[in-house]
Amino acid sequence: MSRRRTRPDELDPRPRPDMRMRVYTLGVLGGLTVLGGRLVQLQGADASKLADRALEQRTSVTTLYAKRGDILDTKGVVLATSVERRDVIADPKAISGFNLRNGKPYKKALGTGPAGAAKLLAPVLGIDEATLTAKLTGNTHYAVVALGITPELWQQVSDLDIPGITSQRQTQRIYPTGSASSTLVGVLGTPDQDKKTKAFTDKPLSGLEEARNSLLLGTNGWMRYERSAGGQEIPLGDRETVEPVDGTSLRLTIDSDLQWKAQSAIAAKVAETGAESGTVVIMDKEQRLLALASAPSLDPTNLVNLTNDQLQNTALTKVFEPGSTAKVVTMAAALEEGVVTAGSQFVVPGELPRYDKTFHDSHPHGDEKLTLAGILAQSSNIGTILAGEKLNADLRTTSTILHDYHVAFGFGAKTTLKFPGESGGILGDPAKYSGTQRYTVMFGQGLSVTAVQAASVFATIANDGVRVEPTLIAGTSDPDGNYRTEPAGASSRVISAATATTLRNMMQAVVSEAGTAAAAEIPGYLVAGKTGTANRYDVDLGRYSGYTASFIGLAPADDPELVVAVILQDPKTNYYGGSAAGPVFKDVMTYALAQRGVAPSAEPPADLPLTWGGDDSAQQDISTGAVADTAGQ
Amino acid sequence: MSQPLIAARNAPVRQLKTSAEPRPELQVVTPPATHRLRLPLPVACVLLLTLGLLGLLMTNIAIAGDAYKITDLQVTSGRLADQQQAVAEDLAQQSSPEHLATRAGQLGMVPAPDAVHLTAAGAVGKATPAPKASTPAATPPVASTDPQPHGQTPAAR
Repeated sequence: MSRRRTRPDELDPRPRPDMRMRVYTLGVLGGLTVLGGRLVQLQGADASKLADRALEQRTSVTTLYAKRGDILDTKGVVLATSVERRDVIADPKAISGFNLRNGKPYKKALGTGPAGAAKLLAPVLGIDEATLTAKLTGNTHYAVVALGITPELWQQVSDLDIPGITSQRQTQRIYPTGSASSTLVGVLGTPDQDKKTKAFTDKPLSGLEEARNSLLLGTNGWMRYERSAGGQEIPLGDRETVEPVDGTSLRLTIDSDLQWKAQSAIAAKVAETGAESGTVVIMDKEQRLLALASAPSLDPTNLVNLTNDQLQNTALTKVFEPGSTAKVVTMAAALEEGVVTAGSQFVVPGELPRYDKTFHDSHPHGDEKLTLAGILAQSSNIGTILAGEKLNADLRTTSTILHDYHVAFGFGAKTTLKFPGESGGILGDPAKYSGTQRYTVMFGQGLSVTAVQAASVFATIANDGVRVEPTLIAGTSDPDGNYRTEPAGASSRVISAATATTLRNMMQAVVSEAGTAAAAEIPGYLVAGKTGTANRYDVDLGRYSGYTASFIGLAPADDPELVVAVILQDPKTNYYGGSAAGPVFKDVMTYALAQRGVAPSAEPPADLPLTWGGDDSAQQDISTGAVADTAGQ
Repeated sequence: MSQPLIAARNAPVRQLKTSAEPRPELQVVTPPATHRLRLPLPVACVLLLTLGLLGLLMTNIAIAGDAYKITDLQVTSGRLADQQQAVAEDLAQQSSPEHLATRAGQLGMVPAPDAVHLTAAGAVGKATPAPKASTPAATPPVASTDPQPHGQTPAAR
């Protein structure tokens, strides 16, 4: 040993073994230190951050969409429901390599690249091959191939197993009844997408979809689970699920058959008369709305070039001066206050100077001897003023009394329907009425109402003078299937049952050969109604232009069940309420009475005397049916 | 000191008690413990461990298999839900009043004429024969979703 040991100063080219050992040891220790340090760094300093990243990499979060509530009619016919749809998205960069391996076709039978993929997809999607090839070619990672295909069709596309073809889930709202109830039910617009979570939120545009959105919307859930690179869930991995809560479904008081009938009838009339718009309201005497038809309507499957007018349900959003149909309120007030009876005798002159204006009737006539019933049947403006003036010797007090009746009948205030865009109508302050307005409000000019408000007056008369707040929603079904009936509208007595009966008897004369709306007569049923032909205030022009033709009636008059209001705005070819709106009333009411199985009238017609003292000229006018009822002239 | 020796030492004591009986003959017996240790302990451990591992593996396989089965069933359930939705959607379309009216028109049906009621006073209303239906082929199928007014169908009053 000592012999082989050399002195340090001796030159020896070989490294000394102990030296080598030290170097190795130091090297290994150094290496271990680096690794150990890294270990400490990973486990100590950045541990939670890295663990989170790892978890994020293998964790998948999926939004579990809640199903939006359905909207059903009173019998359960679907008016709106949600269905799942898929948008087909392509990655053109990935598709450029379709069926290619090292530049050669992998499967001999199939084509390659975009053309090959298009050949497979074309028959399934029903898009021609050339268009599809163009869509799939490109240098991007995102190209929309098809929008809104059914899940079943997407399954067929998915089964083709083309890499680079994916789908995006979306919900589509469908409206099976189409344009018949689209303005009432409303429509959904393009959904909003949350940038972070990528989840979609419904965006209602109109109607009940908007009004009851919070109820219809459910609460989305989510599922978080760990998955492999292939998307397979890792068993025993972390998994958290929050189940979605579906939205509440609405059951309306609307009857889809009546709604469709009303809609098709009014749409035809609007087209025939060249009217700007048309409305039909059907309600029962408890003011449950059975149909709210509005023309023009919109096709919910085609929301391109949508105008705001098409979204509106004119039954609730459009206000108009009611004209002669509001004479019923004046008559009701006069009868209820006990200042007149149906047989009260009036001498109605051809013209009547009041304040700074001379009032006329729709047709020139000399002095006529009419009863109150005759005034209503003939729709005399002058007669209505004469009856209205009897309310009180002081004109201001008369205005106040009349105003109170207008309010009690529901004018000037929104209903409790909470419908988007609903108007409460315009009812002035009686203390601030102009001199002329004090007279015009008696025959329905100088105040504005909605179609539902106008129909409500007749429903109140049908319900023996008790006004029930209109209702549109019969009940709601929560996602667990519990059905909850909505409370009935608040009711209040407006006029006595006797006054209501008198008014119904008086209005029977309107719908007869002697009245203004013989066209509204329904065989077998006594119909009580009132025509209206009002001067129409055009908001765009800022002056009166055209007419509002209307007919509102109830049947059977002896035991009322239904109220139908037909309103035509600015009809061009025929603007008389009786002849323009009357036939629509007859058509819709006949259908509604048969559909609801209403028994025909058992009572004989009221046949109240319309004239007195043997007034031949008036009698002649009435019996020839030559009376029109243009108000406000 | 082995068992037989202890027995031998204790013998006289017992002899005193059973003096009349003949002394039993003693035998050398093999301790029973030597019989049990035919399988050596390490082998048993390995076996047990293997069995345990195998069991664990089987359990894992079963769980993983179930995970696949769940995925498959979920896919099936999804497809069935899609089918159900498609059928419900079709039903809703078919049962809409508008579609029913169009279909009825195609089948040659016509809107009912005014009803005639029989009351105590006799028949109310005038019986009108139903308008003659045109051949179904003459009724154009309505493609648009716009409501078709009655007046436009050939069979209308």
